[in-house]
Amino acid sequence: MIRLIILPFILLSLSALAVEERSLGKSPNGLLMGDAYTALADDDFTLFYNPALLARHKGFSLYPLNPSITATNIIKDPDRFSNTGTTTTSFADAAFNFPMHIGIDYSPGFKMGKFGMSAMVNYNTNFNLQNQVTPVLDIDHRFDRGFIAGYAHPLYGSFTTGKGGEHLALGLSVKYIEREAIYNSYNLTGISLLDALSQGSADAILNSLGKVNGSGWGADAGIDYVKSNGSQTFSLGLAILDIYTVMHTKDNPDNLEVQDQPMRINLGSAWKATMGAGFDLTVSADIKHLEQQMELMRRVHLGVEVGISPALSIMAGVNAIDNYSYGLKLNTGLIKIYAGFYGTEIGEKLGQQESDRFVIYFSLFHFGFDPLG
Amino acid sequence: MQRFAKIIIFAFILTLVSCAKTDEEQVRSAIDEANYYLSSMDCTSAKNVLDDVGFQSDNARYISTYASVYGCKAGFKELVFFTENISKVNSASLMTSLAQFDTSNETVNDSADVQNIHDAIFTLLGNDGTAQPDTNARNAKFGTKRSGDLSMQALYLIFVAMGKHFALYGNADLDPASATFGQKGKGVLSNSCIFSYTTQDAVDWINSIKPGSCTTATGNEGSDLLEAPETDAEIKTRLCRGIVYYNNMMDILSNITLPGSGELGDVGNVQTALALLMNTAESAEIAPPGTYNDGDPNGKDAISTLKTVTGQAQCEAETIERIEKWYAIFFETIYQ
Repeated sequence: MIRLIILPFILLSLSALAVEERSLGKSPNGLLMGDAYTALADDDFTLFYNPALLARHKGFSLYPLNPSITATNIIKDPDRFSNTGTTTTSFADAAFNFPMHIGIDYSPGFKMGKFGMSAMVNYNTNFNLQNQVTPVLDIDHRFDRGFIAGYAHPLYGSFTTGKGGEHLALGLSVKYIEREAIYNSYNLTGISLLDALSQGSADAILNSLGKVNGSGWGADAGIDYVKSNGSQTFSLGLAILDIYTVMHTKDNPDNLEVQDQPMRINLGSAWKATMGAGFDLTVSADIKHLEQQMELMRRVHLGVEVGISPALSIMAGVNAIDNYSYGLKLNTGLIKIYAGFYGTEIGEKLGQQESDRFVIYFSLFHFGFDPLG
Repeated sequence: MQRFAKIIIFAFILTLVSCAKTDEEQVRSAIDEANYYLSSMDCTSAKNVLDDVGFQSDNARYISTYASVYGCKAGFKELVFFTENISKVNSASLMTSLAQFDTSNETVNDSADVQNIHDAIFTLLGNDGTAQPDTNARNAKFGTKRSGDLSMQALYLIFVAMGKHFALYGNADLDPASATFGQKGKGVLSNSCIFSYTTQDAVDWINSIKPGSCTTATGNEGSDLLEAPETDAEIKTRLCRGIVYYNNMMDILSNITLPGSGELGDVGNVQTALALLMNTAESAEIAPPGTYNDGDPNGKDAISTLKTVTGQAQCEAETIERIEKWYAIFFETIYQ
């Protein structure tokens, strides 16, 4: 039986796909658990992973301030730029195949019963210099603003985070995205880039590089199954993100298209054991991008979280075979902090190219209450 | 557990209808993967992934990357060229300055590097949909930005190819410490001219103008590499390479707006300086009493005929007399 279940994945692993996931928001907890978070995301990032997890929520929760920063982990390869000399060539030699990333994410939101809403301000810029013969600078820049609102309904049973139970729930969400994007490759010594860099203002440079704006509405759907006997909790989730998200490009001189927001289908499961006194253990596994043909192991994300006390947890994970993540969470009630490192696959084929990054997240003044007890 | 199993089954059904890449995605993916391989100069892997999706003559990024594969085989690195060589370009003595490039180090005919650079150039220029490379046609086909990038990429390679060509056949002095570094006829070989001229108008020009080291034309002053036992076809092919490199360089410089960047050194002045010299050469052929246009009829109007030829095949279809005259009147004069 197990072999029959695995067979489709093996068959579909014969061909590869594609570069980095175009997400609208990522939980730092998820990132530090190998992004195996589809069945666990009952936090402020629920709507970015699986709207069905809203069904686990009761009462009112507010997440007013929760910014996170992600950037290239330059300390993993500290010698790369230390002996580059003073020439452009030596610096570029060091920069080849060293993807640079900066991301800022701010997703304030609230949950009220099984309804949730999050704003999103998501800035992501990636640079990747490749090809020593004719250096090509890949620029992937997105600045998304908008909101997601969703609702989940238990199809049967009843479950509440922290209290246990069992349910199977269906969730739906709608979203609106305004996007500013540059997504192109430029010859480093070609006319396009040299011309752009000779422009006077930063805005003129971005416009010359092909900045386009667009907006669109979209929708997500998900299923959440969870069962808990109090000490152990098993959950399984299936999320179809951007099941129908259409971006419309605003007029621009070069008739460029704004980056679309492709559909993603993720299956995730998790098991959590609570041992009392704040000590708990969670393991999770996601199989992502069921909608695309790609190598099997590129889909697989695994994570673990060990709660040492109510205030401190350590997390670790792996995805696409050898992209490791690790970090910790410090929760003092009004202030919650995540910090750690994670790796993500960005090449065309499994193992081709990885981007090592760090993430720092602060959540201030998060609170929740349940008037019905 | 039945519901749990249903979710699993539903997920597997989704994988069965998962999407393969579209043709466009496959090409984009192949280009990105090839660029990755070219970052470590893995030319073979880059070529293989590009070949897997078939040559994409309408895709400027594909063309650029495919040309990079040839550049890779030749060991060419654009940033090295930028930091080491482009500052040497001197519009007042272009050929001498190109011969001073550290890539102008050929010692034999038709080396693999020369062939790969040539293939890179014509991969970039030869897919504009016209019979001969044409910058305006590229602009129309790919848009001015992408076309401009292709043209710039080709221009750098043309400089390298011309440097190799004229340093080898012009017997350039390759000693950077020498006072005659890069000059024609000052190298370790014996030739004082590029070619051994026999066509009357070419002979008349050399004997009269005495350009640089090429002061006389008796049919023995040229490069041994452009004489028997090399075949006539081989000699014509090599001579034509110099002509089409030059004409494509001028076509590019005449039809693109170079970035206002100091990085390009004196490149922005090359077109103006050489166009002036071309006018002089053309005038020499047509000016009365026609001293340099009254020899073998096969060589008549060489400059005006060949100055628009940008395709290798079109050049080789011309007579050797015209090609000889072009070299004598123009190349020997601008390369001293």
